[in-house]
Amino acid sequence: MNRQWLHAWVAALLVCALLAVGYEWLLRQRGYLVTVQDDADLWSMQLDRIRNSPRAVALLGASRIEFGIDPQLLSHELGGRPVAMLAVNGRYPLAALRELADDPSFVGLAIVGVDARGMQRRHWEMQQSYFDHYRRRWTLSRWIHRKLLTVLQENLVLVRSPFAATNIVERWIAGEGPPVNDHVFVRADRAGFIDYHQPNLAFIRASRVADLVRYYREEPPTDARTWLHDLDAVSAWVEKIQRRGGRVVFFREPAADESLALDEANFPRDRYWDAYARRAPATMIDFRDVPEMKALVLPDTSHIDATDVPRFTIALANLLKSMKLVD
Amino acid sequence: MTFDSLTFVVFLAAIFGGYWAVRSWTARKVFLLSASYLFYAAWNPFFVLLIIATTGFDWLASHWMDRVQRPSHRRAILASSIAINLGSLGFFKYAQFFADNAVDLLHVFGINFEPVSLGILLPVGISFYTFESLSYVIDVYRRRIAVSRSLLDYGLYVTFFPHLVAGPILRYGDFSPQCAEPKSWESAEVGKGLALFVYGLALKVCLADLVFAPVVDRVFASGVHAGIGESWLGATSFSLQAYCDFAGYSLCAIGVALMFGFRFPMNFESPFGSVGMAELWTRWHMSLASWIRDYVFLPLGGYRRGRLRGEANLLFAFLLVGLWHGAAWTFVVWGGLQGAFISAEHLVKRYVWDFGKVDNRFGRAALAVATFGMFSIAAVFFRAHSFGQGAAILASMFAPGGRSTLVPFSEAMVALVLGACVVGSHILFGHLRRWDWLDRLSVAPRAASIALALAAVVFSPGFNPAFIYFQF
Repeated sequence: MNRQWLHAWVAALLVCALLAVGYEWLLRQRGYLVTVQDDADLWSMQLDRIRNSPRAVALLGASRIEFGIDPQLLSHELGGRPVAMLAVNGRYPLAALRELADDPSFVGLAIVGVDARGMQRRHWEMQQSYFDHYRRRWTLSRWIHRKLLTVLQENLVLVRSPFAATNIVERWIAGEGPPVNDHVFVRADRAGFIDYHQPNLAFIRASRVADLVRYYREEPPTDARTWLHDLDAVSAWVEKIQRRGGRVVFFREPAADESLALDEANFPRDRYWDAYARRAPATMIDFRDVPEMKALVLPDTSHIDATDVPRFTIALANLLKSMKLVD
Repeated sequence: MTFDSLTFVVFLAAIFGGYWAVRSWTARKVFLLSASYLFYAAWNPFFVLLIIATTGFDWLASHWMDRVQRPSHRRAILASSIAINLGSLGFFKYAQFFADNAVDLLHVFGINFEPVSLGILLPVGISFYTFESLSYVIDVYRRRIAVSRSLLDYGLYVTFFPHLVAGPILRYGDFSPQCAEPKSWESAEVGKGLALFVYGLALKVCLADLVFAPVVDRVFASGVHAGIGESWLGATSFSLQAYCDFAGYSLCAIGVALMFGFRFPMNFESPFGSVGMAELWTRWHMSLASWIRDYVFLPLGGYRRGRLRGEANLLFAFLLVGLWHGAAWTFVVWGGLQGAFISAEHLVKRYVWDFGKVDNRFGRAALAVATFGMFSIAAVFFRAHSFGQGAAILASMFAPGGRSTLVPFSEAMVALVLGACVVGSHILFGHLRRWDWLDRLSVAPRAASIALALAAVVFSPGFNPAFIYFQF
């Protein structure tokens, strides 16, 4: 290499390394933690794990599953079965169930974390884009990229997108200060853990309840008859999986206080969940029927704290075993 | 495997090390060709067979053409090669478009068919390598270049990984002498190539993806209505996004090629410093513009058969440019607008005011900004999901009084300031052509420019969306 270019490169790399080290130090000083950033590629890696395995367990759902169940621990409790975390924060999972039903290679156990609200037809398509991504964009090249990115994200705070320089500048212009420390940690297997031992818990709880109130105001519930009628299609997907030896469990995960009251007011259990349970080909589990789950504390009324994840996971594993859903 | 992926960093390091470790020049070219097929297989291994088949066919056709003397035979061979190449491009890229339009057309006549989904996957980069193959066989037919004696060299011309999926569109006449000349570590401009690669990455991952794309996505989202200010912000941001994305990719390609001792033509040269659309198209996607000029516009007669015919030829060429970019009418409208703007500019220059002769610095800067505005007006159709959306945004751009709050103030400010920096730098430094001026800089400014670009890359973690031009 030309000597002048060599000197320029050495100087530039030194400057950049110093800047990066300084920025990383500053972020850690402010209490930000390393965490893997979830995306469709990380999700695709999980889907790869369960295809063609009759012993596979697919965890479908939204945030309550993603931030509630530890797939590693569940796998251990279930005798080493491959467990894939396919739940997606903020998106209900019915499209995922349909896709697994249409995939002849899936012959395992699907645990679908969902409530009556999430079973409404209007929410069915929320996870479809993840399967589209898997089919159209997921390649070996992306797998390598995601593996390397995960290693970086497991070791550096500065590689998280909220800390992009442009984002910091935009927040500064908007007077929003530094990025919010959400105290969320995600592992490479997409298991998430929320630390609720933080000063702004009351604000988080109030925001969550306010969001749910707004949701129900803007999107009134589907009437029970239509809701049940729509689920005939879902039953057909369940039957499709079960005909080839797989199993499906609909699991109503824990909720508490205002969230539970709002859900119950809009989707009374006897007219929705229990009504479907009477005709569903799948196994239906409601957390209120499981004392260990009912006893869990939900700081924001909807999710459990990271310290309770093992207890919740073991309770679910024991339940699956007691119901002979796994051997 | 995109240039902004970590996979590519590993791939590049491995191929770079392997290339310079091999001593024999032929073995190095074989190594590069194999690596290029591996690079392409990262998208879809099946399509490697397609590229090998078309490469082999065109190489054989050119040899056959070289051997026969009768013009009618040569024409027939050329026609078959063009048919194979355009047939392949047409099938993979335009079959669905034609099927959809046929259904729509029949509907007009009262014949109703359900729209059919052909489910055809588009081989990445097919528009680029098809044009390279076509230019080769046409140039051999015209006897402008000697037929390739080496299938290895020709294969490398079509497939060399830096340009394979998004150009620049090479010409065999420029590339083949480089294949004949063995590269040495001393002659290869590794440091400069690496610097260009990092500059290109900075344009893509920082400016295109994090600054301009979020603004564009908000303004062009379905079901929203932007007011006059945000319509202009969205349109100009898209011009800048497209520039940073594609010029960034081209710069990466040029830089990587340089690391292996190969020189690629420039593809973008400060286009937003241009005075007038005609000049802009000599600085924007230059390898495509010159291809269309040499293989469409000039063979149609150019301006040799009168001004009116010339303008018609120009419009036709730009409609093709539009269609080349995508199988949708919005792209055709975009191309048509570019052609119409240039024709209108010819008329203005001829009969009203030859603004190209303005030599006042501020006057030229104002004209460059106006040209950027014109380009952005047309760009609306490039980005719009449908003709209706494009027309609605265009109408908003000229409807005073309309207001909207789609883009947060902070995002808009960052996009405006950095957009002004990009356009301003094109106006101020547009006279600097190619990248040779980099070699004249002393170590400190070189180091500063690399550090700035590296920092822009390192401090721009995001979700690396695909390069815009990969869809073509």
